[in-house]
Amino acid sequence: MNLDAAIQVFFAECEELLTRMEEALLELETSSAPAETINEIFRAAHTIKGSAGLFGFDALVAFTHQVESLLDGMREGRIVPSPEKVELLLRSRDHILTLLRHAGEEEPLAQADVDTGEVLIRELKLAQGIQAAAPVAASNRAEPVVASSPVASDSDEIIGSENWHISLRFGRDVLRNGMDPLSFLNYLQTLGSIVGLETLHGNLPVLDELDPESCYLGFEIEFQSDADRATIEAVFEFVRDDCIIHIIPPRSHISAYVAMIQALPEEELRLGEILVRIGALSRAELDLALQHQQGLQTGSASAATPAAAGKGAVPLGEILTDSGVVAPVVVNAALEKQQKSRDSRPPDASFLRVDAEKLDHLIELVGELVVANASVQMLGQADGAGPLAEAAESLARLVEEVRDTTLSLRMVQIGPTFQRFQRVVRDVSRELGKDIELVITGAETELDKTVVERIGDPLMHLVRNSMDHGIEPLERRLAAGKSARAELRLNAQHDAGSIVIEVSDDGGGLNRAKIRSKAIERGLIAADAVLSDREVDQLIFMPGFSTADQVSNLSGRGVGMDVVRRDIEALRGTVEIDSTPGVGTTIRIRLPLTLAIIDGFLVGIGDSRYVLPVDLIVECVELPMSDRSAMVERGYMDLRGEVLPILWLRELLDLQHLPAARRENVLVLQFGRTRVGLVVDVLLGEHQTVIRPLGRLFAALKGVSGSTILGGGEVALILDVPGLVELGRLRERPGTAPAQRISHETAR
Amino acid sequence: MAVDATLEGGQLLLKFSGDCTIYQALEDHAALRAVMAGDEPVIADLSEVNEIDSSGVQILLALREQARHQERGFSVGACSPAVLTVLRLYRLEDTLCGSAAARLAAGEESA
Repeated sequence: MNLDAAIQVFFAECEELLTRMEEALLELETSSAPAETINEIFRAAHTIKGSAGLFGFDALVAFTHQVESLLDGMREGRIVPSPEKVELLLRSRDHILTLLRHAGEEEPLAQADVDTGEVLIRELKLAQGIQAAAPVAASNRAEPVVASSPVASDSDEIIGSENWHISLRFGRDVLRNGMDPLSFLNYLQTLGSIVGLETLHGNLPVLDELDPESCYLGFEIEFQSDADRATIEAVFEFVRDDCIIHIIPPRSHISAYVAMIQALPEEELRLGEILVRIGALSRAELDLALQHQQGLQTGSASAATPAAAGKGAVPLGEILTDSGVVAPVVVNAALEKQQKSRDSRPPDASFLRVDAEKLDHLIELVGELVVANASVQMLGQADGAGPLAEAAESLARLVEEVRDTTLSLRMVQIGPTFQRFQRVVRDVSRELGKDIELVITGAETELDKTVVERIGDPLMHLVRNSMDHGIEPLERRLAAGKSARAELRLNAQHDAGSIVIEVSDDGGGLNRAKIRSKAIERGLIAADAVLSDREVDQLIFMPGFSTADQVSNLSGRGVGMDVVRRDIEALRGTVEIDSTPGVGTTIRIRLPLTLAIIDGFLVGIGDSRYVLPVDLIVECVELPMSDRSAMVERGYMDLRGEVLPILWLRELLDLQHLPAARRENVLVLQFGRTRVGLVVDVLLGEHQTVIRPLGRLFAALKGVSGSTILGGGEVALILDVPGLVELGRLRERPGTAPAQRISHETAR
Repeated sequence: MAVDATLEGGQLLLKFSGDCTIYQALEDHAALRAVMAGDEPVIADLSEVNEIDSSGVQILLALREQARHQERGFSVGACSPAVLTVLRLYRLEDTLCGSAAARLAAGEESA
């Protein structure tokens, strides 16, 4: 086995696990089912430790072990996941990442990182140490540590049972590894007596499907003993890693049982049985409740309970709670679990890990295929209605499908990218002393992986900017009658063949007067320039612009928004800003769906061919010749009563020397909120376009975003519509005198 | 373990002997599958079993489950002390033997 390759997989997996761990930790602060979340975090830490050990990354193992131990305590309900501890775990998670990135490198870890590690280990130990004493004390008095647990509430009573409760689910390989549940139970009996036990064999298949060397058993045990927790735990030391173990001390709080119910792997357990099994109520109490339920069902008194009238039968949980047999918390936890097992079966997730290079190669090939197909189509058209035309037709359909499917392989959801900001928002809002909530919508929107990878930095900038400059300090918010908690929204959605990503805040909006004066001060605009509100807003994207009075360490270093704009334009995207004073600011990023192949629309000026993204085209109309000179003069046309600004492509690209066409056509284009008409000579129809980048030499060229090869081998330029519009605007500025030039042309 | 299968009065009598542990689990499993082809009620005689572990218990449970699926009876006739100790610890005595007694009784009645 190639060890290098294995290590790469290890790194990739660990980073994924750490990302998941971070998300779960943040979730923990608000989670309704903390037990599951804690389990997930624990498993992540456990897997990292295990794999790191395999490669001999000892520092990583040693540190992760401490994290794992603390999590183990939380998993068993011994340690409460307080906000401070979650914070500690978040920092520890960062340190694991540091260690991971360093693993496999020769030089020793930087001293600062070593120090961080030591401090964290001390804190982790302290977090376990203080709490470790608690269970012992718990047998004498109420456990104070549970009080702040998220599942604890007023009804968090102490369970009457004098016994330890031990819940065991043995892993499949236990028998194969030479261990037998029998020996553990026998050994357990040397420490006390098993007063109640149930063997769970529901997972056991029929004989024909049985793997006789796998273990399918689980146990719920009521155990009477004077031994302490550590001694009981030690019984299961050898199977700890491949076995789910819950140990609940005598007279524990209900919340400990709730946590266990939520963590139990069983899906279809009946509520009553769970409750009896964990000792939350006795069989007699359950029978009583069942009788009560039957009475309601058969008797005519069913209308007495509103729930019964609606559903026909009162859920067992309600009856148990109503008759005061069991605390609502326990019932709710069990109900929640049942509900989950019923509706939220995880969709079948089978994924393949594919080398990104192979995918890129495939996409390149599909690009070639599309180009090759274009020439076949040309030949097909020349064939008229012959068999070649027919074959070409079906080939075209297949190629299009292959193209779409291949491109979709690269599509990933933006959710994980958005989720990363939970942490950023949490940390930064603390640093700034602002209370900010991040609301994410449209996380399932898919876009090209390359785009997702490259959108992270600009987004980070925008998010930080919004928090730092956009959202006002608390006093000012309250004075303005806003809620103390500010809202930052991240939204993604599809819109007319592109992806729109919005970063919006409910802050103070842009200060236009300040932007204006700053822009004048920096010489970006003339002192008497007349600008619309939108134009003023756009000024913040100019290079070297920053209005922050104070340079904080978050943003405002003057390398802000212009970098964002450059990054986004590099992705063939646009960015616009929408701000209402006192209400908030929305920054809207518009990105193309893919970077490689588009559905294009072929147009011509003289003999030259140009391609536009077909998604931008709303309609095509013939330019009314009667009105032509007036339209040239005015710069707009009357489209069924609407004013449509028009641009002359021939003019924009300086192609006046080409012979004028007898007829001209207008493409009505829409991008973002801009609608514009583009006048061309001929419309040549749709064309699948493989985008090829232009050389460096043409990087500064406005209005053209790439090139493509047509079926006949000619090169066509791909037009960048927003760029063209800007080009048009520049020419309208006084000084360049477009009006004169146009009138000159028409005079000719 | 060895399984001795005989057809007796329309019932499949499975006489287990020796050890029922993980060491023989694969063989035992194959042997049992081979003799379970018919549709007669199954009676397991465990009186000659020297040792049984969790894998052996699992095989018994799976055997019972299979018989139930095929809608043929299943019962445990007799148990050796070693088997009884384990079944009692696992609280499976009723599941494996108790129900058997009940079904046996019912069978006798109907017969």
